[in-house]
Amino acid sequence: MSLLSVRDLYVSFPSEAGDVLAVRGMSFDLERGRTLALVGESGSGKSVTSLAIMGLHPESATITGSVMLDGAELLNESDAAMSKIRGNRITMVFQDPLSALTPVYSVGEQIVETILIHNPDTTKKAAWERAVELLAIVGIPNAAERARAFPFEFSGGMRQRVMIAMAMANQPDIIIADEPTTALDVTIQAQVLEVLQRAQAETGAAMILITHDLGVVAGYADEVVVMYAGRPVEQGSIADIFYRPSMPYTIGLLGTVPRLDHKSGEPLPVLDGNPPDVVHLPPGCPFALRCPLANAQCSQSEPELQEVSPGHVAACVRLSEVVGKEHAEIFPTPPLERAVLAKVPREQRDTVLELMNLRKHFPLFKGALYRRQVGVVRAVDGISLDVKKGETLGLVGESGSGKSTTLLEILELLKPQQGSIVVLGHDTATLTKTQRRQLRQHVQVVFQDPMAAVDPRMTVFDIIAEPLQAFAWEKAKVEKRVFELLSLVGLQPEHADRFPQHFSGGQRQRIGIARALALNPSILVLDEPVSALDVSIQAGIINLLEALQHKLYLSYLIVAHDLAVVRHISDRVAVMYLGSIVEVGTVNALYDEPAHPYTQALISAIPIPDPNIERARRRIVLQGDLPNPSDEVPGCKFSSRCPKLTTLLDSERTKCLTQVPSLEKIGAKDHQVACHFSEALRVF
Amino acid sequence: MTKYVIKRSLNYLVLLFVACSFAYLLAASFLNPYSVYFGRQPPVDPDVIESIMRECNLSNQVSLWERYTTWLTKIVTDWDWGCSPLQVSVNEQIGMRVWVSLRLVLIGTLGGVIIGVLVGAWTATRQYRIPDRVYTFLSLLIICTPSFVLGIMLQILATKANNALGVRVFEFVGEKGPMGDYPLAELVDRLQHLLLPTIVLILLTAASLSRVQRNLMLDSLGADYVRTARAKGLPKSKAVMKHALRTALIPTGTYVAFTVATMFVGATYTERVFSFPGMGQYGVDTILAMDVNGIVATTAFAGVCVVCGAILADIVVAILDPRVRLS
Ligand SMILES: Nc1ncnc2c1ncn2[C@@H]1O[C@H](COP(=O)(O)OP(=O)(O)OP(=O)(O)O)[C@@H](O)[C@H]1O
Ligand code: SF4
Ligand code: SF4
Ligand SMILES: [Mg+2]
Repeated sequence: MSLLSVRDLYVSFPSEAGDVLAVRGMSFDLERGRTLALVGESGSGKSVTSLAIMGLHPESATITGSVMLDGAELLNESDAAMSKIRGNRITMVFQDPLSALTPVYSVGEQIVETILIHNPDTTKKAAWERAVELLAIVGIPNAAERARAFPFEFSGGMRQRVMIAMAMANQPDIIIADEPTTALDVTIQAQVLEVLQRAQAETGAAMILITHDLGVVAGYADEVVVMYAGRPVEQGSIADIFYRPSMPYTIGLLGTVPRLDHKSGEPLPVLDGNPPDVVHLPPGCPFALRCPLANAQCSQSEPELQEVSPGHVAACVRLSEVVGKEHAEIFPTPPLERAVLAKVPREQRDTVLELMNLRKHFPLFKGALYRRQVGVVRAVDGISLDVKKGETLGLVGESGSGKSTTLLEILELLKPQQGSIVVLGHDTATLTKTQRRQLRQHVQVVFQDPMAAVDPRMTVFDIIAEPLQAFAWEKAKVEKRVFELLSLVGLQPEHADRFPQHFSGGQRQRIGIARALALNPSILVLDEPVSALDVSIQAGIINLLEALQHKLYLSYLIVAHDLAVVRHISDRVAVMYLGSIVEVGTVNALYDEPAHPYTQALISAIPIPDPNIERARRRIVLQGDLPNPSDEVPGCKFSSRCPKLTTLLDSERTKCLTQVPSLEKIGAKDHQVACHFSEALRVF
Repeated sequence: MTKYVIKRSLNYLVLLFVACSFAYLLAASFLNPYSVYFGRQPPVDPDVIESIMRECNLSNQVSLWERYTTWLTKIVTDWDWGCSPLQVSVNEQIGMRVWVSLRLVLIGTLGGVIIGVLVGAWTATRQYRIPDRVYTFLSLLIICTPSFVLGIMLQILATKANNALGVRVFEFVGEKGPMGDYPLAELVDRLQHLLLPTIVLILLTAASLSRVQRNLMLDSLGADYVRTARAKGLPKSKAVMKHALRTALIPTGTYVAFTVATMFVGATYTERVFSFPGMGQYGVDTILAMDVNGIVATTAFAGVCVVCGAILADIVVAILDPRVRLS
């Protein structure tokens, strides 16, 4: 008998538009100690499935099917009966650690509560000791003392550790982790995943891992269920899914993810379109609208899961034809028209943006009534960069490393606190008001969700036309330009009079790009342009950005936390740590031969969506969080977390702790590193 | 924390002083205390009036600045807040009324707070169901009704009830009345008089607080940490009480601390309707009676109440919210 057995699970919610069919026909078995991954795009029903298993779904939901734990039915159990199981036999780790802990109780109290609910005979003291022990297991330093701290005193990664400590407190049979690392930095993600694995080993629990990150799946899952529009469309072992995917959606998904371990230079294969609305599902295969293989048969009735090989099932009417096909045979890769400029070597191109020793310090105040300065945050602490025409520079680093501040400094086009910003040959310190306004046309920005900042009552036309009107374009010319821009970013003319809320994430991003391009800028600053998008949508935007760059000779400065995306899109990459650049170079040099210990750790932390490669990697896991940026650090800023430091001789270590390393050229081309003991290292 | 409170209090003290001085100068220059003796039958001799005014430090023959310094000196040296144009001591009046108000306001707001929080929290868990809709309607009705209307309606109902019962159970004039001759008669009499105005205050406080609490509770009911609490194995009702309500009480704490303090002067209408000799009524009376010293004393009292409320609110929040306490 399986530990957990889910059969024909259907979950729907009433809504004004009709019933939301969130989960349709989910079935799987989970064995002790195994890890099952649920993957799928946003809204595919992953979270609803897990909440239904826990009995934590909204009361309005209608649920049918069966969920058996060790042969006992859980569906339709009372809240009281489920409460005995929750937190005891099945536990859960939620996505957002910032809001998942009650702010008014100390973390120790919250773990103690979990223990006492299910072990009423335990004394408070014993429970507290156990809580401290658990915190130590999940890697909270000074656990005895930190147990008394409140959630707000912990960083996101630390809180997620607390959640995991809570989830393992009662030796559960099953741990459900719903996007446990999505809200975290990659370095912290690596730490948390490691802790989660430790928790699983320690308790012998089975795990349901919900994630959209195929790299994480590749590293941790034994079995995989791929969901699409509420429906499991393919199920199998990790090797089945990654090496023998048999449903076009799975194939498309795997092919569309940019890879950290190689630079193709080609556009990403795309999965056009969006998942269907689960309120008004068309008959037939839900993937039909996006599937290049779709034919009349596909839209007749929804395909059932069929066996591909023992333990591997997929739902596709053309299964026999699909099995064995390569990704490229099904999904066409769009052609990319390269600019002539692409052949011109970097040194011969114009510099469009240059930062020299740029600094931005924020004074840190304390006290509500009597504000006094207690320090400075060195958000950007003397960085130099240059971007050439038609080139993309990626800026990476953990959150808090100063990437966004750098972008904002550039966008303001003001005289910086120190150093200089030169845009298209103009030093921003010397600009007059009118010159600055003129220059602004040439530097535009695209945010993560550009529509979040616009008036929702504006139509797409108004949104795109606004910058033109601000520069007093004639009405007729504005109109012509807006339609030109719409087609440039792949939108239809009839989209012009709709409102942004009616568009999907990818389309909204296209509107944002059209608006940014309205004034024919030379430089586009992109702040996490694809991080809110599902992988299948993300590829389309990345390709669009690349195509536009070649067409319009644009220069990009892009900030993204996904290093695989950065690798795909950038020509050069700069790595920031606590306001300084620690390594900069061409994308291949930096990824294939990273020389700074921080860059190595950062790249090493990114999972690769290939189980064999991923499981063979030795990961460099950074200890701890980003230190407080207002602390004064003598010597190398990275020394508090540097994994290399421990391997050095005492005399060498003294150098790290006392002398600030400066950016020095190493190896070929313009690869520069700020580390006294830099050494190129392949990390995958 | 203590240091912080002391610092805050000193700040407030300065503010209070400025406010009172300002109130004094305004009242002393615009009010005409002489007018209370105008049109008396038989007329009062102007010399007599003038000597009374001088004695009360109200004479318009004396310069404003001199009156101000006399007023201030008396307060600082003897804690004497002066007297009304009719020579009634302000200290005496306030000394008596504060306790009357205290009884009414403390019982009224505390009762209102408890009911308001419970009703608000409970209706939030029943959002859009019948009890929620009923309570929402009732509380909005009460909020929309001016307090004197509410008071008068209660009086009418009470009269009917008294008639029906044939005994005077409900009293609604003044703070005490003729009382029987049995043990604890005074206590019973006072309670009888206190009952109706207290109900009015409870209703008013509970009605508005239950709205506030309901919205706060709705926010925290949907919070991730409540789901976490349930995922740990707390049954729904316990998760709601221990996690959602506890967190939703933080803003309520501030609100309540403030209301209790300001209610001393805020219960004016209720006091009027029930002829309750409390501070609120005193405030109105002093204005009508051209009682400069009384007005300023009431202002000072109201100011102290607000300051106490603010400090109390700070303390309450610090107790309820570790984020404030620790940073
Ligand atoms: N309480 C609810 N009422 C109505 N519809 C809901 C409710 N909860 C979820 N849904 C709908 O159910 C569908 C599945 O949602 P679910 O949260 O399971 O997706 P998911 O796969 O977890 O997505 P994500 O990756 O964004 O977390 C979505 O269409 C969602 O809008
Ligand atoms: S059933 Fe048809 S539309 Fe669906 S995945 Fe298979 S081929 Fe594509
Ligand atoms: S300088 Fe020293 S501490 Fe800094 S990164 Fe290099 S080895 Fe590590
Ligand atoms: Mg989800």
